[in-house]
Amino acid sequence: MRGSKKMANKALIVIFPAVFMFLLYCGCGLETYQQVPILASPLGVTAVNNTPGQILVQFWGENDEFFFSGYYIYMALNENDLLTGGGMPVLNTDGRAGKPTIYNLTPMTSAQQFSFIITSYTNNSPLSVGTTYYFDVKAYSAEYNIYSYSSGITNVIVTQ
Amino acid sequence: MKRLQFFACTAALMIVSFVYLGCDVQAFQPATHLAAPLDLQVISNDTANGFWLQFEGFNTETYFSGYFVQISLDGTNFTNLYNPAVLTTPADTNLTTIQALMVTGETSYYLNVVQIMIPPYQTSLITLHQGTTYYFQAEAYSSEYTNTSRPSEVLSVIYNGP
Repeated sequence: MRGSKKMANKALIVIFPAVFMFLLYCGCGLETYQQVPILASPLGVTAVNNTPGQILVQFWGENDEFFFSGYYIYMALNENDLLTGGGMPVLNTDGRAGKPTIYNLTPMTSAQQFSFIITSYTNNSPLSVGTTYYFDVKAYSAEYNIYSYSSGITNVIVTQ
Repeated sequence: MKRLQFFACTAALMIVSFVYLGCDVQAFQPATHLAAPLDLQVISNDTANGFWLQFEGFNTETYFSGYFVQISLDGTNFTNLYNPAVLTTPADTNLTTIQALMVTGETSYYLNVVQIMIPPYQTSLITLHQGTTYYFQAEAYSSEYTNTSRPSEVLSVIYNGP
């Protein structure tokens, strides 16, 4: 009698935690959330030179991720630089290095179109008439230091 | 003593479990989350070339199925355009407007909208009328989870097509 009680106690010691663990595992939401942070890519990027000495870059974004911070616009003199990650980020209007080109953005609840005017190359030299400039855009998370995939590349020839 | 062992063992397993769960607290997005298509444009709107819409989507989610393009007369109440969007036979309402053939990389999608079917009951085709304003938007869709992305921006168009 005493032996069987002992056995029952032992079984309880093993079974209860095992069941507890199993229930926790089942209910812990493993399949409910993505396990890595992913940012949606900005899309529809365009660049035009309608004003002398200026390039207007526009794109659409819909980043509802809570860790979203802003957008980096990248600029290069050839497409391959952007494809290989060699494009230089365009500095924001505040001149703050280490911040995205467009920053202090909060997660969105609807699609938004963004516009940014560029008046110089990334080395601060003025835009050169007759030169083709290439652009792409990526969403950025400062919290996790991650980027979205590229928006796709666009280009513009500066004519004025 | 046995009781103590029991509680000690349970407590230890609870700690392990919470540590494990703690690793999982970094829940970034719902697993069903889909990136929204964007940048709807009219690329042709005349009788000679027909009426064509274009938008961009970048959906690498493994559960992504396709895109619903939606139409509205008031910019608020949208109905899906089913596949095929250009209708000669009754539409298959189980299919998205554009099915996912590729789920990697950025792609521009083109849609020729001439006639539409208003789901779910009508069987007759609705013809778009010249001079009437229509509103369009697009959503990514997952048949696996039967959910959609947030909608794209709304595009308003005065129809001048055939």
